Amino acid sequence: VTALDWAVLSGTLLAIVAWGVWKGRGVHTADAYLRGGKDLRWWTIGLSIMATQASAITFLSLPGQAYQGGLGFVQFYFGLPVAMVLLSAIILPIYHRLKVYTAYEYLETRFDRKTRQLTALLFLISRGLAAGVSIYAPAIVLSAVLGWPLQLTNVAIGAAVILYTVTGGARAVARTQTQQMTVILGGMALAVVFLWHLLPDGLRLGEALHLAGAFGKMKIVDWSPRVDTRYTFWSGMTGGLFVQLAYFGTDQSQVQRYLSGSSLAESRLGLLMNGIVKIPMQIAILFVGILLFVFYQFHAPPLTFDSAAWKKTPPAAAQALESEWQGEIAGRRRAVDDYLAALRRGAPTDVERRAIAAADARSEAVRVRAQKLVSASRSGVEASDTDYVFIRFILEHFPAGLIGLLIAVILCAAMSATAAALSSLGQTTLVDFYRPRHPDRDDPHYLRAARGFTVGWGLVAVGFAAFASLLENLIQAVNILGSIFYGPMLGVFLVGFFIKRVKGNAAFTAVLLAQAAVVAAWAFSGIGFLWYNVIGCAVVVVMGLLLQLFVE
Amino acid sequence: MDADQPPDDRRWRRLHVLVLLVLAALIGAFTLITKLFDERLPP
Repeated sequence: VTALDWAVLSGTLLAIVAWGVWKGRGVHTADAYLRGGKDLRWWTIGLSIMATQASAITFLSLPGQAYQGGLGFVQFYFGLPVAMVLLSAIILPIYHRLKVYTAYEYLETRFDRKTRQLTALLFLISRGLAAGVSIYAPAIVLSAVLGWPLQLTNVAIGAAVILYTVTGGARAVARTQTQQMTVILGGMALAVVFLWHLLPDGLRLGEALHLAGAFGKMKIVDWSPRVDTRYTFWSGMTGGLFVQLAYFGTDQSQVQRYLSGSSLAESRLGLLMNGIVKIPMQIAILFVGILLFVFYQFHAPPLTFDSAAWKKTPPAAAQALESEWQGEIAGRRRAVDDYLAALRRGAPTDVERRAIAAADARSEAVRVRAQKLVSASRSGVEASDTDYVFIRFILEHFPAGLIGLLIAVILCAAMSATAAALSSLGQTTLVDFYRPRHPDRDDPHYLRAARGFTVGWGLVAVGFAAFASLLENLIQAVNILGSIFYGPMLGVFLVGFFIKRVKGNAAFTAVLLAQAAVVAAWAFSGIGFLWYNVIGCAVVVVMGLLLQLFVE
Repeated sequence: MDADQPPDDRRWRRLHVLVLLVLAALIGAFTLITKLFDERLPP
């Protein structure tokens, strides 16, 4: 990282933070702070929604994911446009008609206050911890590859976000997210251009795609109805729809974004923009991973990308694997050359394709053993090498200046996701807990309280990030924790919208039972955690109906 | 919000259908790309 990189990086980030503080200086009422004065146009809302969902880990791990597993991950997002249409058509008009600040306010008009506050509490717990992770996850990767002090990185990201979020509230969050998305999209586009430039001269796009396809990286859509394959068309359209509906419909960090629209029409258009743009954006980020993969067919890739972790493995075993890896990579290169020669002659036959597949299987076997060695030397922590593929490539192969810009991309994503989380956490604490208890205070009091709660949540997030740095396993637990709360949350909203006969007491008890069921499934069964959403939601619906019948 | 025109339901329905058509077109394009380029064989 050169002085030019530091200049680009600090210049970009300081400009955005200063812009956020400047834009937020006119916030003098609680409403402006909490809903951004409700003056946002649809493109700002659309960008804001996308920036909220795209965390730093999106940009760190998606290219790595495509590098290892191909483009199939995009299927996870197939349910998203459907979720946007359902929100725009059914749920958003209800929120707008009720003039709510938070999604949970709706639950009081539909059920009662205790159901509202229980659901808001589930949000505060899950999003509060996730805000810590959105700071911690990029901090650990950047500190590992750049040698930055981990705790200082945590505090720096947290402090910058707290500064403009507390000054300008929802308005500053949305305005900075527009700038952050511009940096993110511009930086990623430049990355694609430079990456293409680094591929061998004369290699055509079609050849690169055929080559990636011979390694199985170009299987975007899997129509097979297999349930043991994680990403298929069907899992995307069912499980994916479920996750996106829960996230966009009931998670206040998103609801706050689109409720800041100047009208119902602007909010709807913002959601629909996300529905149209999201999948092309995800496939473009994944495509970076495909270009990386093609690049590493012509340049020897490292055995593991997390070099800091690799250095901690026993040297003798690591050395043996390294030399085995060099041999397999040389063999793979020969298979690639044969394949490309056949492709240029006309069409490769199954002989060349099988040679590629065999070389790939052999090198992959060595890589898997290396991953196991890394895991074994880090006391049972699952190695996540995919998070390091893109950043290591950036540092080793991109020119000065572009490195700084791409680190800015990662930090912009971290800040945009964290800012939306802190703003919505402060908002929910005020609107769903504080204001109902203290209904007679004046507006300046609520504005001060909202700012205080935002600072409080910022400190919780930074504190949790610092704590998580000490306990690496915690991060995996927190990822699962998100899935533990979404099912019951979506369930109570679906009951509210669609099953009119279920009333407050039944809904409240059903949420508690569903939460207990999900926690039990987590503690005592081996069910994949993506299914917790379905279980939690189903228990709320079924128990809500049964309890209502029983009570009556 | 109060100043909004009465919602033009038909226009919104068309826009919602358009979003779903874009999704269908993307999935169609992805399926075509998969057919053209996914040529992995078992080793």
